[in-house]
Amino acid sequence: MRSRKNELHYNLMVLPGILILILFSIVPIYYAAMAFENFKPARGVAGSEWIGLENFTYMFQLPDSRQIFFNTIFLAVLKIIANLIVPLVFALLLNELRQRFMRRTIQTIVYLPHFLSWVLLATIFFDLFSLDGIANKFIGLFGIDPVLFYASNKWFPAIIVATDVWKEFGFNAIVYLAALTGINPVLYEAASIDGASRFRQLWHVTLPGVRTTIVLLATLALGNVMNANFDQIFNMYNPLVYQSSDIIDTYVYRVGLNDLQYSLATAVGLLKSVVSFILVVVSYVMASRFANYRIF
Amino acid sequence: MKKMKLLTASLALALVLGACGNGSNGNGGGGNSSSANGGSNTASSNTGSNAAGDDGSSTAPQLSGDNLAYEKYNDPVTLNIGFKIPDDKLKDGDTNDNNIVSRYFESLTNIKVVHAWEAKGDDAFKQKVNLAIASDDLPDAVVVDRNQLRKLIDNDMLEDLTDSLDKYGSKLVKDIYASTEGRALADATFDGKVYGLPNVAIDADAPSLLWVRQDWLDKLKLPAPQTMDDVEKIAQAFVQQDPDGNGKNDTVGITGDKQVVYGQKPNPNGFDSIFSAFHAFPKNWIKDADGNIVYGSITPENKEALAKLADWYKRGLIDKQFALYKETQEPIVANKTGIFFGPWWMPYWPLADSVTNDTKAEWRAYAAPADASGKFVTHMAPVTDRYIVVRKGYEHPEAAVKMLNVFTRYERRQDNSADAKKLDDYAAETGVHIRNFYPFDLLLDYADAVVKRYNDVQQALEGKIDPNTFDPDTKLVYDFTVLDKENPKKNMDAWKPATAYAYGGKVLAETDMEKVYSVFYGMTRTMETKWTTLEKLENETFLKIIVGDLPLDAFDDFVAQWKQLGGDQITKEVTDAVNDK
Repeated sequence: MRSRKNELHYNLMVLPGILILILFSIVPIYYAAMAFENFKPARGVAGSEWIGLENFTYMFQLPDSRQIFFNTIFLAVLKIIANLIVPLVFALLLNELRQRFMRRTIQTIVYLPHFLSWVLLATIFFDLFSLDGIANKFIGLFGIDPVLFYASNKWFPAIIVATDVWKEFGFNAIVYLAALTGINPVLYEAASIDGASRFRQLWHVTLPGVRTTIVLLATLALGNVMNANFDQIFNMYNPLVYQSSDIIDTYVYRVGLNDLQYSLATAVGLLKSVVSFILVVVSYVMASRFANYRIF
Repeated sequence: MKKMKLLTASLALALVLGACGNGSNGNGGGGNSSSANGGSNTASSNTGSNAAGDDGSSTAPQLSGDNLAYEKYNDPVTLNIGFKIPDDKLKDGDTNDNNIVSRYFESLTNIKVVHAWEAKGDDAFKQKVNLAIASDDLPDAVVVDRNQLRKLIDNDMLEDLTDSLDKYGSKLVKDIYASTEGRALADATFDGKVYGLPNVAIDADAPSLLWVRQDWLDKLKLPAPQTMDDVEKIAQAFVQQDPDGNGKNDTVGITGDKQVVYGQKPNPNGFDSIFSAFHAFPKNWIKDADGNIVYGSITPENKEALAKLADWYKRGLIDKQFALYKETQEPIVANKTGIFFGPWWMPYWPLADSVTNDTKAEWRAYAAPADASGKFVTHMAPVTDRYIVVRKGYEHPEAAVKMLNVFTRYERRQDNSADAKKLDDYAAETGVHIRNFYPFDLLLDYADAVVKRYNDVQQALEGKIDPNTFDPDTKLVYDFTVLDKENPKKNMDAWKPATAYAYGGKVLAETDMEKVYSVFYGMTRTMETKWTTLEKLENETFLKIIVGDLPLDAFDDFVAQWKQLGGDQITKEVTDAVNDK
């Protein structure tokens, strides 16, 4: 009885999340049936003509499909890797700082970008990477001709990944920093008595201490392999770089809402969801095996 | 355990923030196009009519026609609409759904207009309508485009407006529809029933003219442009010879839009006129030399135009960043460019902003570049491109017609009441565009309005006609022209129509143009599923050839691919549809 009383406020905290989940994730499952129909708005999901897998067949004939699936996975994987490593390195470096004040200040500054919207950042980055922007001024110092970063299929994916990491690494580092404070200081004491240098301490105490966190975050991130961040890409891309950065989400958005091809858009989105679901299951199995993380 | 809690908490936070991000994102997308929309709004705001003298020339279906058309409801009627939010800032606590304009129309009709939803900008509005269609949740009346109209009719979601228009349509509205020889209503008619109240666009909106900074031309001692080579020389000089004289190499050449061409009604920065100078008419369905119907984007002439544009881009004569701007007018407003393509109404927007930022700017329009034989060629635009539709089952379909009657009467300046005058004064005082607050963003005008008005105003300036005999629209242009002559650029509201007519209108009136009409504007069955893909292929190929990402010969691959991916089938369907007419 005691424990139930204690759990009540936890349940209340979860409630809004559950409601949002039901409304935006569970209810729409019914509408996923559109993917197998020639959907007519007036007739609704129940009344539209059932055409089976025709939308999927058509989707695989489209020259764009392969490209957008590739782009999505490519960008998402790069982001996942970069977003694991950069915050970790940063957290380790920050952890070595002795001055508490400095540490706090830096931490606050670097996680601020997390709270800025991509609408705003896209404009700022556009100026930075424009022909007479800072980036081109800088490479101009070395006598390199200006590059149209935003129009280049070589550079644009790099910019997408780099700006995403810049925006999020401070925030992602919080989890690592929390894990780092959880390491028992006695271990460091013992290590230094044994004559371990700071680098040795990092290698033999710190990293093993956060190992489970790293593995956990990595496996959980697997569920995001099909998510390359609609917000960011929608605000930053342009037709010249569709080839390298048009992702499933932006494609579904354009096909569905601009071109009224509801069924096709749903089919593409549904395929993405199915792949994502498989990856989530895989990542959960892996997380429970390697990091002893269990939900059930 | 502690770790887990923190992780969960931060994940939850991230989730919530992510959701917020999505919201603001949608708004941003809408904002992008809002000014483009504002531009075309302002553009036609003075394209009035010469209808005042036409009374009695056509037969009204009923004796009490106009009395019925303008009759006020005894009991208030509620009309739910979807509303496009304009850029204008209202005064005195007025809101988008309760302001001096809405109160005026309500006092005339006793129709209570309720905004079921609002959207900012063309793209956002279009998506809102698409959503409304998809969820079968149309407001009582809303403005839709051609594809949406077709979709709505296919789905049987619209009220038949034939009788309502016949009985309640004002004489003015019917006259303007009649002036198109039935083409306007035919666009909204299926199986003999009228399902939408179409707009009537003016011919003048179709050609894309070359707008050039005359003060820069004079400074660099360059002649007025006529041929393709002239345009090239001017662009080169504007890029290299520091025309703005600030000592920095910061001017760009011809600006463009990531759409490359508009095809029907142009906005700023379309390359339509370059293509038509080579007798290529991308995005239009045209007849070839043998009389066969072909899609204008795949004819070999396009390749010549693309070669020219790619060459110019490579040499920096076209703004290197043209495809990257979120809003195409940015370099024009910032006065980075002195040469671009746009229709006659450019002074309303974006040029008014350019001049506000640099009062030295003197913009002139030219019908250039000419084709090889020295003639200016242009594609034309469809008579209608938007329609007021009424949801099936709405009890008062005539309310939409009555609304159309009253705002068209005001727009065409045939409303001489004291309240209408109040609106005029309000507009003059605040700079608010009254038309942006009509319940429907849809204008009716006579096809030749701009050219006729330009000619009348010129004759009045020469003293050949008494301006007091003008219809109110023409009179307004005349007054503003005189005002701007006395005090150039002092009053921008006078400068806009004065300049648009004096230069844009002049070129349209005085140039003998070869006008090419598209034979087909609708959608066919195969288009419904395949057109998006084909259009994307086309847009990307054109854009990439121009910026050099693809070689010129990629055009041939594009044509082959276009045909194979459904283009041939669509061409056949279009041919059948045209022959059936």
